[in-house]
Amino acid sequence: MEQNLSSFEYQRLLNTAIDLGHFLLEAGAETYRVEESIQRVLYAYGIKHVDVFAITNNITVTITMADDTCYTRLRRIYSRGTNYQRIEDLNNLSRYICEHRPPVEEINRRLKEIYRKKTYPEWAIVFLGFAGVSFFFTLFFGGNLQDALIAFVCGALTRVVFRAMEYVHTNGFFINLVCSFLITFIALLAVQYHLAPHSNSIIIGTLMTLVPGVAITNSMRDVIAGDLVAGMMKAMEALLVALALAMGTGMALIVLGGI
Amino acid sequence: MRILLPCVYAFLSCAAFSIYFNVSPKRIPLTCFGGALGWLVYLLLDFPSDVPRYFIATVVISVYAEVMARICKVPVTLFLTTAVLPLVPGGGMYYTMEYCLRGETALFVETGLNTLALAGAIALGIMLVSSLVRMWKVMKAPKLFYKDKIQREDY
Repeated sequence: MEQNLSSFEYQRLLNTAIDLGHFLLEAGAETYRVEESIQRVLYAYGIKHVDVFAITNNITVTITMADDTCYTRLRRIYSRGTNYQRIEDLNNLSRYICEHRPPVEEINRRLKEIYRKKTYPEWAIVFLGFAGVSFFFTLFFGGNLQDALIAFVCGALTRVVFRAMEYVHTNGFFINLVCSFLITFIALLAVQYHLAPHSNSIIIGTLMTLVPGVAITNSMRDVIAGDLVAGMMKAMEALLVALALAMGTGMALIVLGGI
Repeated sequence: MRILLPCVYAFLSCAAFSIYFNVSPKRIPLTCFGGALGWLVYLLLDFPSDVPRYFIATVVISVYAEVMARICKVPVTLFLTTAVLPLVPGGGMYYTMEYCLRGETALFVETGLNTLALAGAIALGIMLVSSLVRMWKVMKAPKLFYKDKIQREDY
């Protein structure tokens, strides 16, 4: 099996491996996990050299055969999110590939299955995810039940606005700015009309849905693994998001808070 | 109650985040427990400054995440990123921005530096545990690290 793949089949294998890396990166895996997964899968099929370079929005792979012919593929990645179920499944798949070396068709079929696997429905993300995070973090940061209920509404609204602006391809900086402006605006209005006592708890609690905690953690792990470029890109992204949040909140405070 | 209640809130907020991050239902209790554990450690420790408390809490969370990842055979990030979220100094960032707008420079600098130190403590905690685990992994099975293999075998 290992040595008698034709060059065409090696190219298909390269394509499939880069698909695997692409899905991993899109689901929010660390850069070193993407690079190692691609390398392990390709080495399992008896390729002499595999060189992988991955950063946050680009993967390049070159394979060298025993007879020194080379194939290179470059994949540009545009969207990025967090989907741990998919990372887990892809991780299991790459382990399975290294152990059993299935034919390329089977890998493609399994990749498609993983890609089409259902996520939580949108209402659950709005009301349990975003609204739930805002609700409990408001309580966590010292709000009472009234504050938490206002935060619940803010959180649900944040997700709706976020999705709507993503749909029309607005850039991330502006989305975060608008969302944080909206959150602060609603929180301050609620306090002005005596619906809730603590505006600070509501604002901090709801902003936790937008704070780039994952980007910071992953950038740290990338830097440790030696992927400085990818790590710096993620750190920069986190910094920009934090800046957008500060600007949006600040604008609302100036408009309503009388600073 | 003073200690238990925040931990329950941390647990539930991690559960909500797990839904946002599409963690499969059977893993949600374990990720949430990590978040509650981190905050419990933070509350039980008693130092004059917040920085060592944040550092130790992060180290505990990282160790928990590494152990759980080995047991469940899933990537470490799943447990780590979700459990660290209650520690993220969102309040500090917000107050820093507010003081900046109000023009209270002394408070702005003080809060800003404190927030930066807390973020540094979290980063350092994650870095310490991840580096130690990586060292241990390479010592256990060096042939798995292909990045090095290329240079050693060919030249």
